[in-house]
Amino acid sequence: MLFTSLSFGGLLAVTVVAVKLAPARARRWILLLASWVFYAGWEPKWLLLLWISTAVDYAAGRLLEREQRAPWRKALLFGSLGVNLGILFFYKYWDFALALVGLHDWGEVAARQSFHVYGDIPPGLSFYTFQTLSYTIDVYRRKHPAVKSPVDFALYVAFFPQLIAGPILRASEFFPQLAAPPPPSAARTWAAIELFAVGLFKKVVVADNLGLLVDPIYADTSASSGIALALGALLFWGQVYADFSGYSTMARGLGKLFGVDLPRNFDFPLLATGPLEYRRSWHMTMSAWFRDYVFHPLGGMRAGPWRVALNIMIVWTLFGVWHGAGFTFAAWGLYNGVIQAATREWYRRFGAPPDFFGKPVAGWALNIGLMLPSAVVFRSASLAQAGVAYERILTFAGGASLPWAGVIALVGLGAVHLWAKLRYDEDRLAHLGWPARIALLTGLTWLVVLFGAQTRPFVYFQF
Amino acid sequence: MHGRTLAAASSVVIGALLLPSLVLERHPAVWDWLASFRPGTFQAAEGALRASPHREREVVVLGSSVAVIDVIDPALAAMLDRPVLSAGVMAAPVCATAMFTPALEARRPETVLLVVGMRDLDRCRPNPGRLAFDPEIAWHAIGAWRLASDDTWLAAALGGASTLVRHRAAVRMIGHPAGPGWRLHPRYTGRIDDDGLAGQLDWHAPRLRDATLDGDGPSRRAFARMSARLRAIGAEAILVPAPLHPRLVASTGGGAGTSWHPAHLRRVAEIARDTGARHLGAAELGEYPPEDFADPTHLTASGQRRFTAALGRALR
Repeated sequence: MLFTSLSFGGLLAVTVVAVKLAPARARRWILLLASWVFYAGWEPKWLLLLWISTAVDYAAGRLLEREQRAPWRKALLFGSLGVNLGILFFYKYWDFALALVGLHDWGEVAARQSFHVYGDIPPGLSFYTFQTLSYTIDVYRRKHPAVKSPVDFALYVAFFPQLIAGPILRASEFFPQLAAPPPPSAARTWAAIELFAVGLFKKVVVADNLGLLVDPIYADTSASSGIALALGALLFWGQVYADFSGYSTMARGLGKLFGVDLPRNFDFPLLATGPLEYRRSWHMTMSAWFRDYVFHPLGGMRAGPWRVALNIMIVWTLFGVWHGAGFTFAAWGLYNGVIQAATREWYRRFGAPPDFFGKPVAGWALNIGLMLPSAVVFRSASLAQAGVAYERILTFAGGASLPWAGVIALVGLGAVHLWAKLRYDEDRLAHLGWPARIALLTGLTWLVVLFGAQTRPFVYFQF
Repeated sequence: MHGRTLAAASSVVIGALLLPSLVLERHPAVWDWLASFRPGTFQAAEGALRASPHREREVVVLGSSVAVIDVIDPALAAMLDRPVLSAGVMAAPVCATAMFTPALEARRPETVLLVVGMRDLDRCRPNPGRLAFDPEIAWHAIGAWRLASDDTWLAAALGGASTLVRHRAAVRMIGHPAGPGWRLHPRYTGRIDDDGLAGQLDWHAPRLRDATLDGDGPSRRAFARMSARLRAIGAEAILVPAPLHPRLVASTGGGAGTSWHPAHLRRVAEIARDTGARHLGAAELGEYPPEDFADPTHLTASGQRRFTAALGRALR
């Protein structure tokens, strides 16, 4: 059930009315039921996996809190990790692993690696698995108490605004808000509506239209010119950003509507002035997850320079493979790991570059240049296709004529992005008078209706 | 959440859809503009129905791609010596086509020819493969409402709301692979090869059960109402099943390994009889060899000529 579907609109309307009319103690039940209905909207059978994950981690949390013996606690932790990662591995990587050892048809698996294939993987599996893992690890580390109410815990796992594609919530962010929701106010509701509307605009108008430009370019890499492929890669990264951040923004709006402030997932990453800032501003909740549960346990920044570089590359490769079982995703992660490790080493040896006129613009251009190869490999269906794209880009194959629609889209995207960073506040509607509110909402509605392309599934739903 | 704020915002969004488009729809220039879209779109069909002047003894051809592609309207007009207006819409089931009923009532044609593809009378839902927020959902809703309601103001307002949505879909339809000049598109100029045909037959196989038209459905109800309203203005509604590739006809389907096609034809004839529409069957339209088909459900140029000629003979 997509946020942009009429069926979701119906579910949302019913949930809003029910939450509004029901007594406070029934609110969690209603939200939980709505979340399960929302998830069943894709394929009811996947609810079973969600329930297994919920039951296992609820039980693990309760047992971990009671158990004092270290070996037993460790066994409980690894038991929970085993079940969750086992399910994740089976649905996302099993065929790939079989193909690697020659027990599965490679062609079939390779076809599934393509980023736009949306097949037999339970929607949002990686997101809710990582969320429940963070809970169990936090209880194991005694950073968070085990949750007593199974309803509260089930709602934490399945809370529909962020169930399918994050932001990944920590227990410490969710349960205090559930226990003491903020009082309803007009300003808060306006902010929620604005977030949802802006997110919808990003998804339906920006991302889906960019997809229309990118798809023909990458449909046959060998027929597209090098310049078109390079431009297409940049547009694609804009598409992924608008798609994913659009979803996250809608999720934050919906969360706010039901009294839960979800964390931001993006902080204008396409305007980052260097690789480190880019890393900090892209998919922030997932980056934080990898930092806390993988990078730090590996030794983090405390080890020697080579070990730190290795840790960074391990984390980024895992981050890449988290997107799916495919060499393209692994290559994307490894490449970004190398960039991050090299940048850190540069800073360690030489310090930050001195200030000069135009430094932010130069840093931004450098970052875009470094990002380009990773966007090509992420968009390509295979490493071979990425290889063809690189070759054509580097040799300026197919001439130097510019696909102007793409150029205009890119400039427009950049201009709006920059304007939003410099001028836009997320609670603007709350501070406007009625005429301006009506004008803004009317404008957004028209933009979505008139210029929204045919809706595609959210890119990140498949991860 | 703050209930009044939410209600106010919802009202603004609904108002944004309804009021301006109500004004647009009531302005005649809108229909000229819509009629300028590519043939085979809702925009062009409704624009043509509303913008061009009434013509005596006119035949209006409605239906999905089988009406747009298979019927050559100028050739039919020449054979009948009557004006023919093609208002077919690619991929539109009958429940969506039914939204033209008010426009037809205003236009008062003498004959309305509805060419139906094998699943057009049953299917009335957005294609699941296209996922959500599809303007067709709005079309279906508007079409159903227009038929169900005699409340002119509300129907016009909802129709107006769909004007904006329809514009959006026009952009998408123009990007359809069959693009400009449907009949001249390479896809419809040559016979489909055996491999291509086998693949498409596989695609159709699980859908044949729908084509047997068991039970009631929104498209059939919509057609019944549309037919009744056309009769009320003195227009004759004619139901024409589109020709199908012989191998598709020979496929087993419809459940339990039984042949689906006789059941399909029988039900189409029953629907025509029950709704007071005239029915043209194989006896009037003849049979079509494999070389007349560009795919299992659409004709090549030669097939289009043969089918149009058969229609002309039957109507004369």
